[in-house]
Formats: sequence, structure tokens, C-alpha cells
Amino acid sequence: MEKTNLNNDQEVYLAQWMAGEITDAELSKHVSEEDIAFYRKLKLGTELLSPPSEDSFAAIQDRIHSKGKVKPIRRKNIRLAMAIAASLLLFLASYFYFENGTTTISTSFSEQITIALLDESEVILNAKTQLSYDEGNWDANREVRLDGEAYFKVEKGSAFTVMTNNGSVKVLGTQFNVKTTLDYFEVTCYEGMVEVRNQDEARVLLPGMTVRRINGFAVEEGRSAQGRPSWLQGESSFKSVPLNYVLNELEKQYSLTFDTKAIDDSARFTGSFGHNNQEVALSTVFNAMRIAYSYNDQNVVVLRPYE
Amino acid sequence: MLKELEKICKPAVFETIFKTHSRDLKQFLFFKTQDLDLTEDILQEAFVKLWENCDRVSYSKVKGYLFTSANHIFLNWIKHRKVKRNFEKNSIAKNNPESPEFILLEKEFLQKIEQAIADLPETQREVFLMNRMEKKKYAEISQILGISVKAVEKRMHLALKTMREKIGNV
Repeated sequence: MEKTNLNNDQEVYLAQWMAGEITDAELSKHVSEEDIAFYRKLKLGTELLSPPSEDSFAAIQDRIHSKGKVKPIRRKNIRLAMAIAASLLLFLASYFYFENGTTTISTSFSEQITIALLDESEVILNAKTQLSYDEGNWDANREVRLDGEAYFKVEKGSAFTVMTNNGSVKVLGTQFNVKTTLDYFEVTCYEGMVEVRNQDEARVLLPGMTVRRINGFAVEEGRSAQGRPSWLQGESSFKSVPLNYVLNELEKQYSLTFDTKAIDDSARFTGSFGHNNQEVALSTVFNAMRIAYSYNDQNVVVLRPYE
Repeated sequence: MLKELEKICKPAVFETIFKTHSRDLKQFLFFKTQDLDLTEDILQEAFVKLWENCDRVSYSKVKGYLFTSANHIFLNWIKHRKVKRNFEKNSIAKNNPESPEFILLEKEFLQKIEQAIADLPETQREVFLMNRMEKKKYAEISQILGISVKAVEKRMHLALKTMREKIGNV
């Protein structure tokens, strides 16, 4: 709306803009782009310089009251209250739930999350992975259960053990990757020293070393040149791995189902696929394996050998 | 010692702490996040956390406690953002230096503003401060000063113009 009573020495467009009465577009009729950028910055700057608003304090009061703690909690109840607050938070985050003092964190298809354990150790979970640990007993016993794939950065301290259905991995402050699905078990050490143990044997890994077991049999013990697992950069890499495990990984990253009746899924695959483009990933893997793929009406990926 | 511990749990003391430290905390968080909404959110959470632990934090360490927990909340948010891809998309759109809404603001700029405010003529400065710092509307200011709304707008307009000339290109 044009105000007719505005002549040059009565201009107030800057004041109006500051109050939100006119838009950037209207302001740009009077001043240059750089001027607008400056005034925006000035507005933001005064926002930062101004003391907190009463709304802000009121919002804090609301948040305190909505948590059901009108009065500050007494010291003896603090553990309970912290547990309630923590579980509320965790519940909201929707990854976490408590069960008999055990914390379980799981990821869905094509999801990766980073979590910090009680001692600030960091764990990055790959897609379709479940990790659980006993919170109450943590100080005495740093032990987590893993199904799936995770990269660990363990803080120095007491022994840290990763239990899996395929064996255990024990460390003393180090960085390593564990992948365990069904009968596939792979551990790579990136820093420090790692002990991999199952019923029959124990092996010590130094940085760069990988041990891989399929169905309990050691299939590969090699060195990897990489500093970190490739899946952290959004890529799954395989070295001479039976195709069914590669398909398993594709299913986790892209939420797919494969029909493998017509192909030999024990053939070995060496290579990698990215996590951001399904078609590129599928064609990368299947071209290399000389396999044609198509989607059927249930959206299952049907695999056939090349004609 | 016990006396000191109890202090923060008193609502009046808690409010004073808020008034004393929240401006600095807001600036601290803004320079990390470059996002006002996120800053406000983390700021509130840090004070909620202080209240919850009010009988465990000593009064003399309250500032350090606030800044440390705000920093933790921020770092957790960063981690959490990796998970919440949708959320990430939103916040990237807002925080993306390529987008026209993005404003990169440095500490030095705040000092320049403070200096420029101090250099404003008295009549412009009082209007500017009432509006920008005390969040008063032009109509309210006009009543306080006993001048017309138009005159308030005029002073505000001049104050902004003066500051533009004073601070220059940034």
C-alpha cells in the first residue's frame, strides 16, 4: 500500500521495514541490495545484543513445568528423576527404549546414527543394526551386544567387549569396525589393538588388519589401507565376498527384497556401491556380476543371469 | 556450602541468573549455530537443565555450567541432525550460505553496532534502543516520549540511515 503523504524528507521506509510493515521487495525500491543486506545484518545483530525477552523466560518456565517438576527435585530422587528425564528424551528420539536396565538402539533401512556411550565412547551404527548394553553395570563391565555393523571409537579405560552371535571382540581403547549378520562376521582394526575371539580361537588384530569369517570359517585375513570404513562415507565395499552378503547389504541400505532363485548367490563380488542412488548401486553390482535385474509387481528385484 | 547450593533453586535467583547470563549465552550459541531459532531452543534447554540440577550446581560455577551444557546440547543436536535427514534438509536450507536468507554475522559486527549506537544523536538513540533492545512498538514509544508515531518512525529511519553510513560496507 502506497502512502501518499510520504515525501522525501518524511521518508520512514527503514523504520517501517524494521517493524515488518513493509517487505524486502518494497524496501528494495528505495535502497540497494547491499543496503538491504546491511540492514538485515543490523536487525539480526540488535537481536543478539538485546537482552533476552520475557517470552524466552516464560518458555523456559513452561518447559520446566511441562516436565512435571514444578519444584526442584530433591537430591535423593535425582537418579530417578534423571532416569525419567533421560527416558523421556530418548523416547522422543525414538531410537531408544529401556528394558530391565538394558538400553537398545537400532537403526532402520538406509539409516546411520552416531551415539555416545556412557563413557563418551562413540559408536556409529550402519543401517539395520541393533546395539544394546546394560547401563546399570557399565562402569564394571563395558560390554555391548551387536547385530549388524558398527564402527567403534572406544575411550581408554577398562576392557571393552563387543559380543556378537559370531564371537566377541575385546579392546582397550581403540577404533574398529564390526560387522555381524547371520553367519557373516568381519572385524577391522583401525587404531590400537583388538582381540577377536570365538569358541575355537582368539586372534589379535593390529591397525589395518581385517579378519572375516563366514559360517565360522576364516575366509580372509588381510590388510586394508583405508583409515576408516568406507560406509561412513556412504559407500559399502566388498572384497571377494559371496554375493548373498552383498545382497543383504543392499537390502539394508535400500529397503529392497531380492529374488535370487535364478542366480548363483555364492559367486564372489569385489567392489563397492554408494548409498545415495539405488539404480546406480544396483547396476554397479549386477553389471559386474553379469546379472540382469528387473522389478516385479510386488516391487521385488528379480535377478537373472545374462542371456 | 549447603546454603549456596540451595540458592539457584529459588525462582527469584534463577530468574536473576537468566537475566545475567542469557544474553552472553545467546551470542555464544548464535556464533556456533548462525541460526536464531536453534539458538533460542538450545538456550531454553540449557536453562531447563540448570533448573533440574539446581541443587547440584554451585552458584559460583553457574556460568560455566550453562555454557558447557549448552555446548553439549549443540553437539548432540549436530549428531542428531545426521539422523534426522528431513530436519537436516530444512536447516541446511536455512543455514546454506548460498541461500539469500543466509547472513553471516561476526562478533566484530556486534561491536561495530554497539559503537554506532553510542555515536547516535540522543533523540535517535533513545528511539532505537527502545525499539530494538526493549522491543517496544513505535506506538508505545510515541506515548512514552509524548511525540507522534510519525516522529518516532522518522527518528528510527534516521538512526538506521546514520548507522548505515557509520558502519559502511560489511
